[in-house]
Order: sequence, then C-alpha cells, then structure tokens
Amino acid sequence: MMRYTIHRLLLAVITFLGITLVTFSVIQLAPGDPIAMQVSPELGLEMSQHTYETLRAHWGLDQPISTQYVRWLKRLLTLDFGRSISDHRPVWDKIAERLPWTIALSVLAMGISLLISIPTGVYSAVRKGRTFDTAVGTLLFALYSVPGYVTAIVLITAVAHIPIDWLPISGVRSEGFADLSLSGRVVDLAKHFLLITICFTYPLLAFQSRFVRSNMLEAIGQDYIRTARAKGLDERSVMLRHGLRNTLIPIVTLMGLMLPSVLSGSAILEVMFQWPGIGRLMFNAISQRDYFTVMGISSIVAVVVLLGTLLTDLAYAWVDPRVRYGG
Amino acid sequence: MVDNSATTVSCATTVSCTTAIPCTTTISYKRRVWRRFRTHRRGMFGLAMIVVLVGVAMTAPLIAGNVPILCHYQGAWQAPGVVDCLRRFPILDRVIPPSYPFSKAGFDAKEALSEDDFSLWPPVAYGPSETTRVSLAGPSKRHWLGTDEVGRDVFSRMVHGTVVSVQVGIVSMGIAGVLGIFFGAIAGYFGRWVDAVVSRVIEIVICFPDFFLILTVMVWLEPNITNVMVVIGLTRWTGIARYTRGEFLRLKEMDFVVAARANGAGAARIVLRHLLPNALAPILVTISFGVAQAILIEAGLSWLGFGVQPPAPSWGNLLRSAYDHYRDAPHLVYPPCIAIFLAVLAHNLVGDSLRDAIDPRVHATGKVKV
Repeated sequence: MMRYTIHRLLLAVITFLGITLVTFSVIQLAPGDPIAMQVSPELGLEMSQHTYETLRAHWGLDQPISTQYVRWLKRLLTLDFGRSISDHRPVWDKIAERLPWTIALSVLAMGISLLISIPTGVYSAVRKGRTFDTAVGTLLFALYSVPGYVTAIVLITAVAHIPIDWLPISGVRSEGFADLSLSGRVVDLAKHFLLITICFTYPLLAFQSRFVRSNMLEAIGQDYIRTARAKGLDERSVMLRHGLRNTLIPIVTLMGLMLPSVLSGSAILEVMFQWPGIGRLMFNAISQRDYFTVMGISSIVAVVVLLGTLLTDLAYAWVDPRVRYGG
Repeated sequence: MVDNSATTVSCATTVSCTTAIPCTTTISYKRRVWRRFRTHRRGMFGLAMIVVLVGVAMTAPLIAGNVPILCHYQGAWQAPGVVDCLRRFPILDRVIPPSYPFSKAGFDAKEALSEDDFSLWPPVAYGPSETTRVSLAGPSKRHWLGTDEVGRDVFSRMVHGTVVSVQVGIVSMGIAGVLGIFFGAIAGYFGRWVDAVVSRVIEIVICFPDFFLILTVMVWLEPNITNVMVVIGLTRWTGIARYTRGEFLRLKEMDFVVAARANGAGAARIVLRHLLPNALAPILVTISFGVAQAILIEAGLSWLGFGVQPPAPSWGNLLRSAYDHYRDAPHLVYPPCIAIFLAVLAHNLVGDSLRDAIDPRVHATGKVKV
C-alpha cells in the first residue's frame, strides 16, 4: 500500500508540473500583451516605449519563458501566486473569494446526483427490461444528450417570459441582501442556486444513473450473486448487500474521473448565470491575458483535481488489493 | 431482443472458430456487429439522423441561399447554387470556376433576375449572412424561423451552421482517432516500457481540466474553425487510446495473431491487418461519443466568443444571439437548442447501440481493465 501511495503521489506531482508547464507555455506564447492591454488605445492613451519596457521588467515578462516558469515555481513553493496584472490584487485573494462558489456548486451537483442516481440505477437494473427501466432509461438518455448550457438558456428564457418574478436568473445575491434576516438570506441564496444547480446536476445524474445500472447488471451476473441466492437470502439483501456494494467502488472512481470536467465545464454556465465562480474568473482572466491569474487558477484546479483522483485511486486500491499489485 | 442477440453471438462464435481462417473471421465479425446493430431501432434512428445531418451540411446552399439553384440569366442557363454547393469541397473549388456574375460581391440575384427569367430558388431564398430590414421578427412564411438582430434569416443560418458542426465532428475526431489509435496501438502491442510511458501520458492528459486548456489555447491561436477542430482533436484522444490499448492487449494473445506471427508477419502487418480491423468496432463507439462531445465543445466555445467568429454561422453563434436577446426574441432560442440536442442525441444513440452490438458487457467509462 505504501509503495502504491508513493507511486501515485509522484505521478500526481509530475502531472501537476505537466499541467502548469503546458498552461504556462501556451499563455506566454499567446499573442496579445498583458501590458499593452492595460492601456486602452481607443481612449487615445499611449504608453511610451520606456514605460512599456519598465512595466514588462516589473512583471518579469522580459525574461525567457523557462526563467519565468522557474521563478513562478519558486514563488509557488511559498504559496505565492503573484499579483493579477489587470487589477494588481494578489491572485490568491481573487481565487479565494471565487473558489467557494464553484466548489459549493460542484459538491451540491455531485451530491444530489448521487442521491438520485444510485436508487434509480439499482432499481432499473433490478427491473431490467420492465416499464420502469425502459421509461427511465429513455428519459435519462435524452437528458444526457442535452448539454447543461442549452437547458440554461431555455430556462433563462422561460423564466423571463412566464413571469416568475421571484426566481432570479443571475448572480448569487439580490439587492439588499445585507438587510435580510438570516432565514431571508438562506432563502435568497437558495433561489439563486436553484437554476444553475439544476443545469449542473442533471447531466451528471443522467450519466451516473446509466453507469450505476450497467455496473449493477454486471454485478448481478456474477457467481457470488448466484451463491447468495442459493443460500436462501431474500432478493432484497442479495441486491443491496452483495450487488450494490460491489457497484459502489466504480461509482467512487467515476466521481474522481468526472471532477476535471465538472470544474472546468463550469465556465460556460457560470458566465451565463453571472456566477462569481472560478470558471468565470478564468474566462475573464484569459480575455485580459492576465497571466498570473490564469496560472493561479490552472494550478488550483489542477491541485483539486489531482487530490480528487489521488484519493479515489487510493480508496480504490485500499478496497480492492488487485489494483495495488496490478501496477 | 437482447436474448436473441446473445444467442446469435454464441452461434457466430462457434462458426468462426471452426473456420479458423483469420480473413473470413474479420469479415464475419464486422457483419455480425452490423447485423446486431441493425436490430437496435434507436441506433438505426440515430444513424438516420446523422445521415440527414451530413446531407444538410453537404447541400446547404441548395436548401438556403441567396442565389438560384438554376436560372436563365441574360440568355444563358446557369446553376450558381449548384456551383456554390460543389465549390465548398476541397479540390472541387479549384476545378470548378465560380459562376459569374452571381459570385461577385454585392451582386443581388433577386434584383438582377426579372420576372420573365426562369429561376429555381432554394426553399429559403436567403443567404446565411444576408441582412434584411426586418430584425428580430418571429417565424413567418418568408422567414421560417424568424430573423436575428441584424435581420438575417435564422433558418438559413441554422442550415449553414450545420456545416460547422459536421466539420468539427469529423475533423476533430479524425485527429483524435489517428492520435488515439497510434498511441493505443503501440502501447497495447509493444507493452513493456512503451506501454508504461504511454499509459502515464494518458493519465496525465486525463487530469487536464480540458475545457480550460481549450479556452487558453483558443486565445493563443486565432479563434477560427480550423483551430477549434485541431485543439479539440489534440485534447480528446485519450479515450480512444485507452480503448485501443485495451483491445490490443486482449487480441494480441489470440490464436489468429499467433498464427500470423508464425507465418512470419511483421509488427506493422499484424497491427494493421489483423489487430486493427478487429479492434475497430469498439474504437468507433468512443469516436461516436467523441463526435457528440466535439459538437458540444464547439458550440460552447463559439458561445463564449472563442470559437467560430461571427458573422460566420455556427450553432454556438446562434445560441449567443439567442442569449443576448432572450427577452425580446424568444424564437431565437429554440432552433440552435433543438439542433444541438438532436445532433448530440444521434451520435449518442449510435454509440450506445454499437456498444451493445459489439458486446453487451463492455462499458464506455470507468477504470481501464487490464
């Protein structure tokens, strides 16, 4: 187990370096200079060559990419992400105020989808080929094919036209949030969470239910289920204690695998709902060529993703010894 | 239905085992998969939708355009619509000259052709970038799906946007397919350190928050359809590689491969002639799902403004103008939404049915099973 853990940790570190190096090179090679973008030529402002050079030197942009990357890594060791080029605030602060909103969404979406998909998937597998299975299966398949952002636009349009005044479609807080009582605040937040959470959750839900169903079916086909039935266990405990328990492991793995796409897929939905999350921050930072913010977000997301994958891998290996020795 | 197909499998397997000639096994295997696929009504429905989609993309100027398909202009017969349609394909655009004067900038065929001239127009006689005076109008007889904020015909833009989606699907998955099959094949066939290196690279690429990476790269490259396709292809090959690797690991121990090696076949021949044809069906499953993903990503990127640039029509751009005008023009919302849904659904249906047809027990996701 120890050896496996070290192996995984090492791999995670390499992956982290890989992700940051690729992102760093890509954004540094991008045309469009963050310094030049700070002055707006349309306002008739121009920067003297001298100021420009000084600013570039100030941000360290005059160095070769390799030097810049090493310098960036060194600062990272002290958890210093540098300052944002666009508004000069520490990148760490910018991310810290945005990250909870995205994490909250992801956790909510994954939690809700797990709560619904496990019973649905198990029941579909047990009733394979019956009306429930076919109906739910068809519905989930259709849902799975509707991207979250398409639903988001339809919902936004619908809310704007069937006047549901109490349902906000953008941001996280109404005006006058500070004046509300505690329960009022909770209700207000819940309202803002409602639509975007729906759009986040149902694609996961559809995918997971189908996954649970097929894994459950595979488990049911195994010999140990026949043994359990043969020794006279009632069907319910055969399914739940023997079938479902063996299905849970792949589900945990699936969650880990889905984390990167959940986090980075948040960009479109967050921009649509004007959600103050990490995805929208990334979108803005990229548009402004804000190198250090982009790098900061990429690293944080990479760390979160890698931690997720690492934990699922370790959990998997802990539960199933074959993984450890399989290499 | 499932039980039937299961019995067919076992029958077919015994047949192919008794006639142990690799060549015929390959053919019968493909036929077997196709025969089972055909029994899936959902899969066939998806396949039909894909055919329609590709058909629309290929004949877009004949369905909606601002030049006639066929007309009699100034004493000569001309088919500017057909010429436009053909000239969108590579090679043909060098062979076929543009039809003068219809291809001239600013030439208005509707003005130029008089009542007496014979002319056969596309069902919707508006080009995708042709502006009219009516903006944000609802559906009417003239504009089937209404017009957008600068008075362009939405139906025409939808039809021409199909081209983008079909292109993105084919080209990006073509790139991903070549990369994925190559890396998966060398990893699966050679094993040892090659496999170790490729597997690690795949593990690393899987951890990339891919949409962020695509966004970053799209800023670096000039946002246009070619770059969108290349970038999607470069980030989406890991699934295909994992599948190919798994299939190769399974197949390379089988008798027909050993027989081929005993006959003196080299690595290239074994991989290309014996392993790849047998591994192709499962790879097609991943590619089918991949096309759906690629269409989604393109539309999302275009919506954010990092994909196909307006005024070029793409479903993502249409979605953007729908979002910008959701209060005053809700009729703009539904066409791109429904189109994206149907295109994604079609590919998912085909992928799902194909997976069932190959082996009801294979899963698309989860851990790589060695």
